[in-house]
Amino acid sequence: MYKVIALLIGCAIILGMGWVIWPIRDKDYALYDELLKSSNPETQEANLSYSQQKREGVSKQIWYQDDSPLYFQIVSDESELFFFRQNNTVEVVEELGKVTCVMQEELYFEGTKPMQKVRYLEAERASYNYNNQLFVAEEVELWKYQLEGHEPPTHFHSPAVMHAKAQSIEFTLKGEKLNFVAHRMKATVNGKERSL
Amino acid sequence: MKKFLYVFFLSFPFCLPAFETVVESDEVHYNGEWITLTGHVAVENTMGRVTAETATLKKDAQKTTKIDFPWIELKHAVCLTLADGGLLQCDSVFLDYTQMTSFFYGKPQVTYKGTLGEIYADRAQVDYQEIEGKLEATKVTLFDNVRLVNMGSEEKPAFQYALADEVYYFPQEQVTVLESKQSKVLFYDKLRDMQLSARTVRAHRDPVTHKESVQGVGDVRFVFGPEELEKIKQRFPK
Repeated sequence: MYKVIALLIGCAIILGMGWVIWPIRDKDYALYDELLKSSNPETQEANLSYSQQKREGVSKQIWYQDDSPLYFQIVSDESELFFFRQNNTVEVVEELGKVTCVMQEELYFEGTKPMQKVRYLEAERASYNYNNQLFVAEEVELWKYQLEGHEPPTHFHSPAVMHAKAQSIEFTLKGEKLNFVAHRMKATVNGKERSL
Repeated sequence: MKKFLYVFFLSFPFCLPAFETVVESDEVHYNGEWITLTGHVAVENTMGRVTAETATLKKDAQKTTKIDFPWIELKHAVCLTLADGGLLQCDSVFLDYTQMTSFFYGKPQVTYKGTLGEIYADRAQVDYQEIEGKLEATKVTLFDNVRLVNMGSEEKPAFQYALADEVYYFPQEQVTVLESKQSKVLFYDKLRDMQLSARTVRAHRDPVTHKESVQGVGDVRFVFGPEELEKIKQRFPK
């Protein structure tokens, strides 16, 4: 029993001496924080990498399911594809210059005559994120047409029912409905259409 | 009085099918069913320009009408400037093409000021019909705390003032009916020095002779009582 008490007292004396000789200072805390941060994989810059690829004559054709299958075509003379890798995930973003885009908005019938509403846009530049399927175009001109037929159009001969200019336009093809957003838009609508 | 009611309510830019319309907004959202315009919304055509903070257009998915977006709502600080200089201000406007009607809500009041006069009401409703592709107003109704000032035209000046609970205007018949439920309709013609107090006042303009007639119905008096006179002075301080 005495031996145990003597051992405990001895340990307490040694610990007390250690506290006096090696006190924990502020810089020790700071060093500890740095060690913690460096061991956290989320902040490790070494894990982030990217690669890029140049493309010419880019054409994307997308079929989008709304009430009926709708056709989207994005065309650009050249683009740069960026692959961002971080923590086992890859984000793919394509930066496009001088873009045109044909978007079927609605297929319907006037009596028995098949008809469609189509948007056509031209933009100075755009980006397409493959992960969230978000398309963002800047310095945009947009036209809306009502055309005969359900086939995706290749030319627009009839006058547009709407013409608009916008600072930027974005839409995503992910989800049930097409979400279309325009910033700083000015549109001229044909009187018969009365819609955007 | 009737002419400027007519001029304003037929001139709402969204109601005009025959003109090119310019629409501006800070932000536009479209989800296939709704178009929402937010921030500095402006709609302009040859008849005028309307501005608001937001506008919402709902699509007619069932195609019950020939218009893509028959339900339109403009909200907050709605201001309509007509080409002739008339100015309408209200808090919100709702247009329903399927029911051929539109509602104007004031906060506190719907106000219209033009060269012919002024209109004040807590809210208003305009009913339309479509004749040969054109929308024509069939009935204009002004609700609650209605104040009308008719200044007439340059050729035919007038100084007419009216207070009523409700006003019904039928453009095709050129008939205006002013009604009051609690108190009475007060009508004052300054040029003719005519005072009229009645439950209902009916004004009619003959489309051929352009002769105007004003008729009081129910508890009619041709001299205002002291309280009525005070009310007229308070509501028309000038």
